[in-house]
Amino acid sequence: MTNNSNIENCNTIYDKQITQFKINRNGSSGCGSSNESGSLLISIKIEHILEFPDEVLLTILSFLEPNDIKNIYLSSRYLSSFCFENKIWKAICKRKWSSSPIFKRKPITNWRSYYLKKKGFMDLSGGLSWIEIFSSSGDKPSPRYQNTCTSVGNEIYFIGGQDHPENRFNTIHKFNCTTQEFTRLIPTGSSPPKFARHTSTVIGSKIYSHGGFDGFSQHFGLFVYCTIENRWETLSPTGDIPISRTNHASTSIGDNFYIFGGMYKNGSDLVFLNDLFEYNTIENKWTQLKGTGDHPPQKCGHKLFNFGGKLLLFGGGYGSQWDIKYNDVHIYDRSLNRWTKVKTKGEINVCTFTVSWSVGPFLFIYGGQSVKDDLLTNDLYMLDTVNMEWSSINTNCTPFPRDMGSGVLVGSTLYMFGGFSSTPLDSLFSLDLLKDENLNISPSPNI
Amino acid sequence: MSLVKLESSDEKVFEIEKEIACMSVTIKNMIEDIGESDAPIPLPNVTSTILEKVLDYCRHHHQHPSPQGDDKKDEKRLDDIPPYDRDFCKVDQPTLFELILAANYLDIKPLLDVTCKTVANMIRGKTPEEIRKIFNIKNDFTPEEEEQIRKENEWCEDKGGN
Repeated sequence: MTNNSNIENCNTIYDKQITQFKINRNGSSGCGSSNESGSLLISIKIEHILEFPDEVLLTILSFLEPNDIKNIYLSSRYLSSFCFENKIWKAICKRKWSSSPIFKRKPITNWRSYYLKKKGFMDLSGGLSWIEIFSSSGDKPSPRYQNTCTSVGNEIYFIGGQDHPENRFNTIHKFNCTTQEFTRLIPTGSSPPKFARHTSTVIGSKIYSHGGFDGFSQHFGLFVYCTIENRWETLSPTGDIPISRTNHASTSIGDNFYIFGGMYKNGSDLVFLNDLFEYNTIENKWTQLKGTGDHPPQKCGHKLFNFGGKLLLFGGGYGSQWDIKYNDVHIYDRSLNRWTKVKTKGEINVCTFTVSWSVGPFLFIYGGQSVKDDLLTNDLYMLDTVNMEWSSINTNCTPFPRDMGSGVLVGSTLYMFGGFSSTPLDSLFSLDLLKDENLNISPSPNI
Repeated sequence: MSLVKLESSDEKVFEIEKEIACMSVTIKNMIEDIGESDAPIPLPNVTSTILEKVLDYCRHHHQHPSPQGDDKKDEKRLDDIPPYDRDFCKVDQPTLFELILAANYLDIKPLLDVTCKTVANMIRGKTPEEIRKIFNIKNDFTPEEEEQIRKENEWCEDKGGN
């Protein structure tokens, strides 16, 4: 591999020149005629394309498309060593999909990998296929919706949920993705409440559950489930304690998790929220974050994600008839304490109670309520956070429409459990994003 | 408009408007470093033949600036080289390579881009064998390696039209 990364990192013209001079003096650029006298001369003439400085070769190659890069790769050993360079693949991606300034500082460390993944998702031939997992072994959760679904390692944890507004569960089930076995867990410590419409967020080996409602009168606070000790514990945090709520959303960044919005019942009144709180797991402390900028409106049934250390808020809605519907995207930058409403491209036709997964720079959304009418959907959408464009992803064996289901990513596979489709559901589906084994790519969060 | 003098490797001196010369970031930096001076700026890496062409290019684009905002769009479009630039790049391969080296050394991004794009266009759509022929590159793979790489590299193929 050539030593191009240094060159690419140089921002100023001077740095570039100095780097080139150094390269030429070291004679490592493949440039045959470095000046022996030690003066900083670059050769005036070259006989051969291979004698170009690395950066020039990369500039040439960055004007080519993947097919031609393949042919370059096959043409010579020396040229093949350039074909994985970020500069080339970043240029390819930018021509094909452009990019959005919103995550400009977000490091895509491997543009070729990003290209191949996105290409794989978009490529309709073959398509991605949903598989229903029929697991006969173990104790499967009963049909339910508004439970949570989180993963630690290759195990998925299902907490709470309901099959009727007045019948809520205090169960924790585990599904092992390797053995495909369900287990009902009986935790030590305090007993989980019978609840649904809470959030669950994984930090390390612990699952933090917040809020939720028992269906009658009781709202809940903050609990933590330790997957190693199989222990459920009620927490008594300090700081700006958020009012207990339902239908909110959460996600983690480092040692913190964040909750946004939701609703609670005040007597017979429904109160809808648009507040943002940060919980620090080390200090056991809540902080309310009153961000500036395009503050999102009150909403429920939305989704919250961590993309590149920023919060991404999608969709939601509210109102006694759920008549206010959102399919928009807001980004919250913690370091600036600022919200930005993002201009997205492409179409997304769902708003509330979707099933969602974040996979590297991609966000997948399945099902939920349509923005156009009150129907449930079964479309799979992908938001590419590099260019903030929604795409519809074609899938085979698509499960029937639903909302209020739960989803989680394990390895390269999207898992989806339960939900509601005129009746509570207990089916478990998987969608392997690694549909083509030749691609040999694993969606990792660090691209 | 003030003039600057540039001296090529074969010691020919060109006089040109400072503003045009400063399309080269390298020259611009040199002028800033040295300050105003009557002495010609030495460009030991550029021959007079090439420097003359480069200055023609800069003069043309100085007189015909591309509309602001279109620059970025142009970058994305591979096939689209403006007529003047296309003609400018219609030179033999050694000259084209010299222009690239000069553009790189003088740091004139639009010229570097258009010359590199021209080389890229020579590659586009060609087989590995054709690429080797065009640029006189030796095939340094063994047949076994070539087969192996061909297999490994299948993912790269943009099957297009799907």
